[in-house]
Amino acid sequence: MTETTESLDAPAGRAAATQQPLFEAKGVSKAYGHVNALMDVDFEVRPNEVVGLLGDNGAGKSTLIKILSGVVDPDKGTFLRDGAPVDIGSRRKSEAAGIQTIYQDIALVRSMSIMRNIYAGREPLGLLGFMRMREMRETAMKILDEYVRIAGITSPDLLVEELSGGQAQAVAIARAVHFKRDILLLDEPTSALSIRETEKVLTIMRDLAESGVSCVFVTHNLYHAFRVCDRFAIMSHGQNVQSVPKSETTLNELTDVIMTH
Amino acid sequence: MAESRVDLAAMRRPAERPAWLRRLKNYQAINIVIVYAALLIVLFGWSLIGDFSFATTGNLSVLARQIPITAIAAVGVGLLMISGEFDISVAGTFTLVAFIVAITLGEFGWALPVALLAGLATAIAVGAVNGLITAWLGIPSFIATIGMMFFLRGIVRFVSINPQTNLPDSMAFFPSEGFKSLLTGQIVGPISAQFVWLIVVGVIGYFILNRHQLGNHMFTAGGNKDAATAVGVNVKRVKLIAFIICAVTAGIAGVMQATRINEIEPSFATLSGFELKAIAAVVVGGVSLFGGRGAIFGMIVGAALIETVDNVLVLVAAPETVFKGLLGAIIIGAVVLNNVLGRRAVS
Repeated sequence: MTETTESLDAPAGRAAATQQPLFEAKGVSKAYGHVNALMDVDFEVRPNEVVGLLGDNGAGKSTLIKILSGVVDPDKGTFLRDGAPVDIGSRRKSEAAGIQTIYQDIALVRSMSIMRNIYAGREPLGLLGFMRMREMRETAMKILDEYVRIAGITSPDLLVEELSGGQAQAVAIARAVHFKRDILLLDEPTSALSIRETEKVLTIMRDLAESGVSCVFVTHNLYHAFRVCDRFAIMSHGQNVQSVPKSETTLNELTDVIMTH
Repeated sequence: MAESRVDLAAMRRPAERPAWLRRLKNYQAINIVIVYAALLIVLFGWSLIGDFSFATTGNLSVLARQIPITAIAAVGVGLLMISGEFDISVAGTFTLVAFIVAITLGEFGWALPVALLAGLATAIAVGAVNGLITAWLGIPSFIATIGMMFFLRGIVRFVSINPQTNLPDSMAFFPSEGFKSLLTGQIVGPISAQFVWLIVVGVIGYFILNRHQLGNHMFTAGGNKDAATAVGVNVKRVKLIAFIICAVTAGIAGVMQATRINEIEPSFATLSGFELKAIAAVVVGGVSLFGGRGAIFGMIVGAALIETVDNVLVLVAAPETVFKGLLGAIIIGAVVLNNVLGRRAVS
């Protein structure tokens, strides 16, 4: 791997449209009172891709992400996992469908170690509910090495509050990937990060897509999106505007589409 | 690899400390151990060169018998605080459980094991009610357990009424000699049986907190409730269990105290300030008032420190009110200090 821009470029047209989508949302609508947050929106995630979910403030991106992660119930809409209908009506069910959301304000416990965070709620247990500490420690480091390879994380005993924003983000991603989620929803994951850390998170997304974890990248930053995404789903005022592969568009074109809607 | 070089430069923390130093720094109990050691050095030194009766065998053995009782209750209060909740009703539970055991044993003539089970059931009931009100009804534990505190004071007053005078009265408690020596007997020198029981409670507490799933869930629930829910920790259940553990340790301490002095004083529920003592002990011991941080050893040393301060004030014949005032100052001081020094770890 290299650090250059090219490494982040997706092989053109690799996410072929003929592939069965990993996950599909069809005809999703959601209204808050008189405000139609989403109107008949379609969205799909294909295998091995990073899809950019783009649009200006109020376009409905956040509502869609909340619905997909099982936090918000849609008024209407059907969901398919590998072509079969699936219920994502709660956080648990959404996770069971392989979806994990990585929020800006990361859902980690800052006062706990990386290891304890990774296993919180999913501790490997031995006799009488005691945790298998050695296994936890060994696996934790392996997880971090394997999935995110982020420098500065020298020990699974480091506290999350000792980590930088990017490192903490990497821990959250590693946890999601380790527990067999193959669709990551990343809601503005880079907005609080420094430039270098942003680079790292973008690289992680790219690597994950190669290794079979598809990423939905929600961002305001078109430049970031253009660097890592295979495809762009553009929303405006709660509706689909366009879904376009990277090979068929340019950064300028994307900007125009978002600006004019 | 070009990438790793860039990353290292970018993301390595500025100064990498050796692992043992970090572990020591991250050990929550380290401050309190240093403070307590310094206090003991001063007190022993003062006793050696001055006219001060701290380091006499008699005084030390009194102290060694009192510390475990407070420390056992502090372990329960500390586990609950790590889970993110308070219990202000500890002194009430302490007194009521002792009364229940004494009454069922002495007046109802129940066998000791049955009387102890009645005490245990009382403690579990108090803890469960506290937990249900807090976790399920969403009432802040500070409020819910203040309510429980007054409720228990009422019950203690009721069960301690002396029929002759129609007033609350202390009650004698004489369990069998075997039980007394098992629970509070002298072993060797100033080492008493309650000291051994404290070690037992401490070890169990350590394994629950640091090695058991329940402990991980306590840290998670107390450290970040939303994150705990997001990863599937049953926060309500964890808090309920923590409230019950807290009430049970308070009950154990109550029975131990009653066994040691052969008497139960109803005013202990109202005037002792024992709940504040226990909270002060754990806060001084490095447990975060906001939950999510703490170590068992810190709670125990914290209890030792508080009892030692109490003891010294008695030796210098300070009025009782001084201790209460000092207790408040210690709690505030410890919280401020913990915030300033901050960042004690969970390893």
